[in-house]
Amino acid sequence: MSIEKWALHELALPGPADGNPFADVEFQVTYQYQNRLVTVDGFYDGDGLYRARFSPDREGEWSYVTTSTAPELDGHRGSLLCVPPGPDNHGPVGVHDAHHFAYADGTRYDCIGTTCYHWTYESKDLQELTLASLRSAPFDKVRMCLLPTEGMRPDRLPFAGTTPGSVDVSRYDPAFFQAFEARVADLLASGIQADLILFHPYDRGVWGFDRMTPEEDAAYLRYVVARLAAYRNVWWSLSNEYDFNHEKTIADWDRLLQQVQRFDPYQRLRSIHNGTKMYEVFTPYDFGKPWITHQSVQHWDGAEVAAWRSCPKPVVIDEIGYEGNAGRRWGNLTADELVHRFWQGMTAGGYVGHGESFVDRETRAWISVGGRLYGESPERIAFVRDVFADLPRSADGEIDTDHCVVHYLGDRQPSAVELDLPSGGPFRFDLIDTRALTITPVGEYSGSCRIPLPTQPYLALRGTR
Amino acid sequence: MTEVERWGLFELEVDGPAAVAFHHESGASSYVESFRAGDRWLLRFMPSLEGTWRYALSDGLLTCTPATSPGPIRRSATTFRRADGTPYHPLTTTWFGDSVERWDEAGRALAASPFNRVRLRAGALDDLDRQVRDLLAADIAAEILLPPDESVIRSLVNRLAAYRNVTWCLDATPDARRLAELIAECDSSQHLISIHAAPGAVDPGPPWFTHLSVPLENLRGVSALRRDYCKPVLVDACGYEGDGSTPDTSLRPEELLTRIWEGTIRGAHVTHGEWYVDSDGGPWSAGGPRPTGVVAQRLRLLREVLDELPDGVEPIDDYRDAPTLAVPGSYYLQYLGEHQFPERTFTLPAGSYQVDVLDVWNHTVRRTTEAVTDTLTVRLPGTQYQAIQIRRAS
Repeated sequence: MSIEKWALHELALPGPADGNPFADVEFQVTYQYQNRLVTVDGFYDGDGLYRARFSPDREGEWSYVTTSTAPELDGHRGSLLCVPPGPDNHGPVGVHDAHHFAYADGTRYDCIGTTCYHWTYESKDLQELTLASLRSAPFDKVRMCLLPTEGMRPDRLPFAGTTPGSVDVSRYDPAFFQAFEARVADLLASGIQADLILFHPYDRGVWGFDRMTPEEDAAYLRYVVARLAAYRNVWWSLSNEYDFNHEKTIADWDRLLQQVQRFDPYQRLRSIHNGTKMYEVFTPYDFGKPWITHQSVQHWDGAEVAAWRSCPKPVVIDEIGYEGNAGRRWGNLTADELVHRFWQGMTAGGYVGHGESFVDRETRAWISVGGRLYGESPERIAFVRDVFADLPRSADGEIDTDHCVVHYLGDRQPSAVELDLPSGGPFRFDLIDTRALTITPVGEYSGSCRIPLPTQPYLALRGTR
Repeated sequence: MTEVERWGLFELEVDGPAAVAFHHESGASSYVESFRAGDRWLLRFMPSLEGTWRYALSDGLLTCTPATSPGPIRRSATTFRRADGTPYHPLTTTWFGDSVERWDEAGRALAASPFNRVRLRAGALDDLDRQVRDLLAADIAAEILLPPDESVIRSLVNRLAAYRNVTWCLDATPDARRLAELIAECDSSQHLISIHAAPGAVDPGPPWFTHLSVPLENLRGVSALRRDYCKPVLVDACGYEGDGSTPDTSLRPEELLTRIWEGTIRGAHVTHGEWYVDSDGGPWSAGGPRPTGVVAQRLRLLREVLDELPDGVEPIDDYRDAPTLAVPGSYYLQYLGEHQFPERTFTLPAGSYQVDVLDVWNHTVRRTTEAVTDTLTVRLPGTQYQAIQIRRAS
């Protein structure tokens, strides 16, 4: 049995189907490389079948042994040979130094996300369309929910049952997860990270998933982590707009984040996303807490990144407003405004996420259901992604300021800008038009200099030497 | 046929660098790399299971016989146990010496002390090897501080892992994951691994750390650490008793003693250290020949209490104004620290109880037997550093 490094190895064993196997049976597999042990939780997958998933991170021989409270699942041994990763397999994404990301093989990760909250709950055709849209879009991460909202009446849920009021949260629906995991695997095959949102406040007690007991929450998280952690493109977002759920306290979120950390053998990226009352109320979780890997922020102003970088973790403004024409102010930005916010946040050393909310088109709002992208921002986001991917970087992932200057001029229209450049040789400057998507050389400058500009907004200057 | 007892040390001379897999009849396996000792290459292995082990060298057969020791230290939820299941309560001191001459005396002092564990800094490997072996003979665990250096870690772990009395502690490093996993890869005995760092500096939560090793001055913080991480908590630097020139090397003995008790009753294990600059041969924790302060002696009482702790004892929340360890209904141990309570009241199931008022500083015990219907009020001397131990008699 051979498997690529960072790929997914699955073990399936028959076991007890009576009682409530989700709750009654403990099943774990301990994998061993040399003397290092990695223990993963297995899970009940229905029909008397138990599975365990594992993603090896070292090439060579791994052995495993199962342990279980059920004798038929206990004491199985085997081995697998972990072989070098294939050309498109860079491993899981992790934090690089303080404020950036890299794949496990060292490749820089651009972190240009988008949001399609419930795309996996839509029809098969629409899901395929979403995937096709994603493949031709510039995004390398999708934020997506496991749990339905109060208004949804899907055929399948993570839990057993489909009618509010008669869902059994002590049992899960393996078929839901199998379909969901197939989509996570599709994203992986397209090089896209799946930022999984584990809770959200848009239940309001209808399903009751926003107010389960601590034991039910823990069992749900353990089951989700057991099923999904081995996919190397998975990130954990404990909640969307956590502060809008008045059924839970900060202490609850601390505990739930710690539990995910405890259950996850790989320590996938882990954060929690705040809500805002736009332009006024902003109460992010304390990202300085050790179990948080990066700052998953909702905020309307990309320039704030500079302040948040005082916390030594990457800043990702996963929601900064959406391009579209929705009746809510979070969903009716122009492409100019959204892309402007990208440039602001990225120039300040952060990352920004896309969203689109055109409510009167064939496939409804992208942020909710996926489908087709109608806006003008994706093309411009592809451009800003390319520009930033090509900048010279220091070992810590920051722009190498000895060799590169990026000056974004924002929504102003100056006729010239005065720059005070680092001493040494001259910089070759390019004028970047973030709307026309052009890059035009404008000459060499050094020291204190004045660079004339064409008096229009949304321009950037890039100097390199 | 070679015989080695379970958790004993098997040593073999080999021709040079070698990596050998040991296979147990059950299917379990261990991976062992040889190391250089002087002009020889040796390979060491601690069999963790009784029965036959095979390996791909010389006769390649090893019989592991029943243990005569409780084995290495293992993590069990938020506590430690020896591998045979016996509860383990470390009482650790700090000896960061590099003088071989002082070791003889220091080793004897340790064997006669209340400590059952000592923190050592990785110095010359030959010296460290001898220290660990001496400590093994005295049934004292050796915590080895590992510098964040891959080659040092590799040679040190390959050499010392087969001693059952070892635990590893990484010096704080941003490279924590890679180095912790390296230790785990090399360590054929799967000893405890921690990192000496504040949780805000290096997250102790990931599974590659078996427990927390934290510097902590306010021991009340232990409770939150246990809650947040659900792992054993070792406070391995809370300050030194002594008269050093820095705030952390000049604690009054009362202060260090009360820190150790406070942290212990909150469910942690707190390390002792001593820094009297004019001690003959140097401060104990800098590698002096013997502890000269008063805390080490007064910890004998804590050692006695720890040795008699019932299995399953845990901190409880019932008494919000004083840390309390308990097996509810049968055992309580409460520490009152710097507060001078005149009395304390406990709610207990009806029965007969043996009640000890422990004067932790003066090392005295006042023992009475009390019949209880529902509450018990324990009169106290009204001085600092008192503990109350209640054991159900019938």
